[in-house]
Amino acid sequence: MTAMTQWWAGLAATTQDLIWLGLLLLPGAVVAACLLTGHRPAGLSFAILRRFRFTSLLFLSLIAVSVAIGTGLIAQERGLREATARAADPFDLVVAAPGSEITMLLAAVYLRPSDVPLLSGAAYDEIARDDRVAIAAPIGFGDSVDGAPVVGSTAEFVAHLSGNLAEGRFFEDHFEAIAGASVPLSIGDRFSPQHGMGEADDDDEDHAGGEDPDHDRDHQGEAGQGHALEAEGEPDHSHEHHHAHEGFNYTVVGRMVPTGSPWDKAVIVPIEAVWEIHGLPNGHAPEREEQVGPPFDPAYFPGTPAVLVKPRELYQAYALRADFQRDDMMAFFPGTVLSELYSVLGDVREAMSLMAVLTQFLVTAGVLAGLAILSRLFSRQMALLRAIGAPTRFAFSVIWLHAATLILGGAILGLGLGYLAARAISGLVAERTDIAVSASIGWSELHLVAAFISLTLIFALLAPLAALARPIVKDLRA
Amino acid sequence: MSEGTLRVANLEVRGEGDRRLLAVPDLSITSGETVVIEGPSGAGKTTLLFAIAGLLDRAKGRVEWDGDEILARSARERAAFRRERLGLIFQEHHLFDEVGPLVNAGIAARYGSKANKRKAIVERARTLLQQFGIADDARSVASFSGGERQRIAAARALAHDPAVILADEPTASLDRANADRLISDLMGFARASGKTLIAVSHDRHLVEAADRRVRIVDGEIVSVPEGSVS
Ligand SMILES: Nc1ncnc2c1ncn2[C@@H]1O[C@H](COP(=O)(O)OP(=O)(O)OP(=O)(O)O)[C@@H](O)[C@H]1O
Ligand SMILES: [Mg+2]
Repeated sequence: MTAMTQWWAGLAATTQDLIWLGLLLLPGAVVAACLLTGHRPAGLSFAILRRFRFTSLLFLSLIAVSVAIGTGLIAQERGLREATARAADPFDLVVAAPGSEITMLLAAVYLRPSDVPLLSGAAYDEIARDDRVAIAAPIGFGDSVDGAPVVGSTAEFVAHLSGNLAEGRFFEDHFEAIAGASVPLSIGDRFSPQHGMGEADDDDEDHAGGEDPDHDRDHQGEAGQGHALEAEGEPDHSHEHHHAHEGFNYTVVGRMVPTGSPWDKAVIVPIEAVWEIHGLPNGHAPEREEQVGPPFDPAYFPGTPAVLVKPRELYQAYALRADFQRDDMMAFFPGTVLSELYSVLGDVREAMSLMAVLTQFLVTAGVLAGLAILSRLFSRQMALLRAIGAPTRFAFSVIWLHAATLILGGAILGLGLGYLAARAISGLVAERTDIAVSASIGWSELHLVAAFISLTLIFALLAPLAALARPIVKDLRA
Repeated sequence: MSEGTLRVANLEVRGEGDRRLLAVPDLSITSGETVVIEGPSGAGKTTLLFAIAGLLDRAKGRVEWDGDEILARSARERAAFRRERLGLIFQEHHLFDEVGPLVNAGIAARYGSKANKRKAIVERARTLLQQFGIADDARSVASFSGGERQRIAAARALAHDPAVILADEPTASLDRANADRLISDLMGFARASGKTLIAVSHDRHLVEAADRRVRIVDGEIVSVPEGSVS
């Protein structure tokens, strides 16, 4: 037994999945082999299929749709889970002022900011000075350009997110910007940021961010709606820009590679600029006010909603988390918060999967009952087959093969439909959240469909039973 | 004993309510004989045919084909016996309407048997269809006439080269011309290849063409004067 377990554990994941697939298909294959070996019922099953072509097509479609719902749902759910986790991947450890981890997760990782308290300069300084910390990047959100969030941070952070840039260079000046992969800005473009999240946000959400609350004097009213984007070399501060931070212009100098996260639609600027725009000290002492990036001077550090911390060594992450999780700070692993979130939703997920599978079986049960009734219409031919000495197994296989054709056809079509549906939903999700969901048909869907096929092929034995239960001679008499 | 010899002894069939449907103390048919079973409606002709084909589970007595008793055998063994040695034709052809004549006539090639035997069945089916004047095309049999369909059913009964042909009112659903055509096809084939043919029929032309008549009244065989036609 242990040898068996060891052997199993030693196999590659793909091999294990393949073996599972085979095992799940095995009962159906055994039934098929038992019924079909030595016989050739296909021609007569085809006759049944032709006689009841519309009913057959309807049954096949019903099976396909139910399989599509089941597999599509599971594929979509997994795709979403993987995509959100992938988006959170670069965020090793996030440190922020005490509050809700989920709120902070949404704000810092997925750029869905709401009002959050700020972490002080002293706190930041302590984090940045820790020997175990490789990168301590402040993340300041709250501004936008044309609905794209403008996030203040450091060049280190950009490099951490994107690795190399797709084009251009990192910022070297406070009013230089790096665009996310899908931001409609080109290198050399200039823009002036608006306060708040532009058209994408609610009015009351407009001061989510890394600044002092009394920055409100800086702008008039709610989140800006106007176009802050300017044509290159034509600075234009016309009337329609009255929500913008007038007089401040960023120049795009680089573009990140696609990350599959909401950061693809963000513009990253030096955090110093974000502070300056809001009339705050820019993180550096006056004699070094031109400096870009760390180290920051705690005395001139206005506060940041979140700090991304990357430890020097992976194992240090837990100690760092333990140290920064205290009364005046909170520290969390976004990945862990996500999986907690998913485990809370786990029951719902399971209920959903169960319902999808149940629907699948109910539909199929209905279809098989329909087939059993249909096969009564063939009782004459069945009686004749048995009268002329055809083995019962053959007569049985003629009707079973018809059902099996519908089941297999429906299952394969359903897999395809499920895949297309999941892709369509992924597209919608990506459009709305900028999270690149790649829903594909994976092993778990294949396993589900394999189990479904096997089970229904066995249940499909009931259809011929109904037709063959009748005495032969009854149907032979004219 | 040559193939296609029937000996019936003390055959008795009872129906619902233990009503006696058939009682045949003794009946012999020799190999290659053509016999017509006639009698009034409800006399038990179909019952006799089904009984000697081993289709009735409740038949008692002895039915011996070439010395083998079949009534005491299992349903499965009786099916195997029919598959091997009997060709059955019914009043209604019971064809699979959605497929072609060759699939219908060669249906026996679809179950059991070895590859070379299957091939022989299909070849015979093809030849028989040709003999019976059925166009060998792919169109489904639903579009064939009633007479043609009955001839396809006859080809199906003969394709596996059985020693015995059992037919229950094979011409009843046909018009005169088609009935005569089927009679001559069937009789010609049985005589030419020495098959035993046992047909239930009221059809005078079929009765006249047969070697022998067996008359049943109220479930019992009554003697028929040689050469007379009812
Ligand atoms: N399972 C059964 N139980 C009771 N009675 C039956 C059963 N099957 C047939 N019968 C009766 O047995 C009698 C003989 O039936 P059978 O079909 O053999 O007659 P037949 O000679 O073929 O008549 P026809 O010329 O009308 O076809 C009929 O009275 C019929 O109603
Ligand atoms: Mg009858």
